[in-house]
Amino acid sequence: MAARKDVELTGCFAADLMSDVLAFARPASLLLTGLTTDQALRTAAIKHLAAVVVVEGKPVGSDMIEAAREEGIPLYRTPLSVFESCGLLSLAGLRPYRDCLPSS
Amino acid sequence: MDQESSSHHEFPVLGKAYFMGGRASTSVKRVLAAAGVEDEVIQRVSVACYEAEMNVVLHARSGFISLDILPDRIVLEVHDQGPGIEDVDLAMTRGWSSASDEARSLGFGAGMGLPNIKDHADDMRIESTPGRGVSMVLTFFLGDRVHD
Repeated sequence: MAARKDVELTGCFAADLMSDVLAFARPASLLLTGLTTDQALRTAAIKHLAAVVVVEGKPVGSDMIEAAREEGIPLYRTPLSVFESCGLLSLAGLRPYRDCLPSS
Repeated sequence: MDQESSSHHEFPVLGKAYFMGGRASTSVKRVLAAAGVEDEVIQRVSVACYEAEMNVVLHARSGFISLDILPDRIVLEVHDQGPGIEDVDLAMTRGWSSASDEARSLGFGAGMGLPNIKDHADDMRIESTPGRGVSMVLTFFLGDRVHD
């Protein structure tokens, strides 16, 4: 929803709790969240995350879009749930931080 | 960075101004980047600063953050006027929280704030007078890391 740009993802972190993002997310990750306040963008910027995806098709307000522009963080929205999104991203080849998936 | 230079910066933080939460920390991050501080340190300072700033926004009436960039370390002080913390040891426990539903709706108040600050700083001093406020002094060493 903010300016389109190519970003390289090193991983993904899904959380609604920004303290968890601050504690556990790794730089250049995609953030999946149900939080629709500009805190999601501020947190992403502080942690050098690659982009933010709002799940469940939640309405994204102008505050959030403005914060995305200010912080230079791409902001997206999906109608999918966190679980569905994570499943698809995993199938698309995005790997978890820890090697916890069974080998195919 | 220039080892001879030191600088002092202050940023006000308004209590309950939820929409402003994170702006002071963004400014701190920019000042550190402009001063040429290494990324790893900027990352630790800004995470600790953001958590501390949100503590002020969520719990206090007002406060301020001061940032000192010294040749060998960064010192971040966060002072607020507000209810203070009754039991600092308890508040340092992961998962313990006294946050309002409003705080939780912003994605904070999960009881990770103070532990996160401690994890990201090399040294953390926190003092609180219940009914008056909280003062925090955080130190981050530059160069050879003491933090593990």
